[in-house]
Amino acid sequence: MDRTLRRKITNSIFVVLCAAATLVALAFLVMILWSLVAKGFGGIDANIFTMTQPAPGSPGGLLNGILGSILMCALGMLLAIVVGILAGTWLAEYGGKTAYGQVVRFLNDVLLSAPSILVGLFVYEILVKPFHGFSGYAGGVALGLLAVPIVTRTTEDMLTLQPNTLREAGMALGAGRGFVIRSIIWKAAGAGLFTGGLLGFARISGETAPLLFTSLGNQFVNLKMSQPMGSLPTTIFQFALSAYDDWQRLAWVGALLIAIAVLAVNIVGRLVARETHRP
Amino acid sequence: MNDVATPIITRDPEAPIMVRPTGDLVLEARQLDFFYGKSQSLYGVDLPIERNKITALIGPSGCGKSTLLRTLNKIYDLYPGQNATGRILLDGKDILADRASVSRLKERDGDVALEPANLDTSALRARIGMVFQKPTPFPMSIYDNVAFGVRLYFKKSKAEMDQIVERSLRRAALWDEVKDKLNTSGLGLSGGQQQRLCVARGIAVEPEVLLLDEPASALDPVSTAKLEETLMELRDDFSIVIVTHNLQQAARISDYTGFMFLGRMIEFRPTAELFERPQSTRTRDYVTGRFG
Repeated sequence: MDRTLRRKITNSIFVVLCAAATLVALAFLVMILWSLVAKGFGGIDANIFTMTQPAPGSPGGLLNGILGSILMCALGMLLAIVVGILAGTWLAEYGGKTAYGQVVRFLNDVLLSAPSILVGLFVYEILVKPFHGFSGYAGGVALGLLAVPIVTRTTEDMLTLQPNTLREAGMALGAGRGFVIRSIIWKAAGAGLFTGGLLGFARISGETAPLLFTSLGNQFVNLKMSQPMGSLPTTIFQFALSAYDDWQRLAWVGALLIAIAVLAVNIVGRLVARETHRP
Repeated sequence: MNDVATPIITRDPEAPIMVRPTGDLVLEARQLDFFYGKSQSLYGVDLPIERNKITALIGPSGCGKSTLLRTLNKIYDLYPGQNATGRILLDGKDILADRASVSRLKERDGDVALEPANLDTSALRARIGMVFQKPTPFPMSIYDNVAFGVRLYFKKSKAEMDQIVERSLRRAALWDEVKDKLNTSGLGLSGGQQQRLCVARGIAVEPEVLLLDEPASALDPVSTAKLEETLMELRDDFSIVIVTHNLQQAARISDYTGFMFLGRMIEFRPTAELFERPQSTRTRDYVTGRFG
């Protein structure tokens, strides 16, 4: 067989294998999304956004969970973005090569894959037990702890990608190191930092285990973060395991809402990033 | 060209052949050694930079041209382990302020009373601008790119800043191409335009010296010609040091040329002399294309 033909055949085989692998991956994604939409979409009505969770058999919605999730995710992301971007910047620009930096990076990698239930127990020990009560604050902190390592890691990676000549160019004009990082490097890495935030949000938006030990859940609308707080994942957890059809339907709606939220934040994020980075 | 320059006669055949400019020196390196960690890459380099002239540094890759340039504005400071000893004088004042090499230099040059410049590194870099090999526009608008350095030091009104930006872009021969899109990102310009934007950004703070590290190596011939033209015009207001691999470029635009080899200054003279009557065999071999 001549060489060109052999190459062509090998090429075709691998193209087919790659396509098959892609299809398998996509198939599962589509199946998940399909079952979410099929079982959840029908349940979406105005009640979902205006009423709190019902007793079995009566009409109700997910308002308590939606508001709780928004508040706790917001607190978690605030924590993750502040701590994560600062830590990632330190690792990339200042101390990453020192022994202490290596330890920090290693521990961050460990945290990256830490089981979320352990994070929940940890926050239970430091924020719930001492203050004698579950709270939205504890839930937000637990979510934040899960997102911090993701944001830290992405920030470090994205800043390391920026060429050194960009830093040198800034400093050659007489700008200090910190100013160069804040006004040039962060901007140049903006889209990447944003992606880190999105990854963090996607990770925590569906977390259930850490919330069970910290915010507990609340069947009424509660905007006080010092009180136990409802959330979509805990509601889904409770309803999906129940024996009542209408509760199970609400669980599907909740799951769909989380998926839509993650998707929407992603799309909006991409659009914003593209708009601000258009050359 | 400088006709009245006199060569320094030395008996040491290894000693550099230096024809010092007779004019006013804006910047001068004396007996400069440079270390990347433990490995030395510059050996006792002298480099006089005359005011309002273009000085070119040529030599094969790795000979220390860029290192020398990076020492002049202390950009190496960024990297721990990199270290320079010797003297660098800006308007006659020592900016390296390296105590250890003072006695060595006194021995050679006699007791030249040199006061330290007492400039902090940022202030120094405002007086010695730098343009890099690859264009480095900041991720912001063309206007903000040029205004970046100025904003670091001065509080200017909008109108004053507009003037500075326009003047700098005009001097860098970029104004006509960008005047209608000052608020678009500098990243959208072509490579040659980006490089001239970097020149505009560098001169906006009115430095005394402009250092250019192979500024045309990433540019096509047309952009290169434009950049060279720009540099020739900038000579009236700035003193320019340019590192280049392009011998014709050095011959075309520079007043003085230094040939470096293996971390040493081999020959430094007015450009025409260096190219037409090189004294060192190594310089001759290099400029006639026998090696390098």
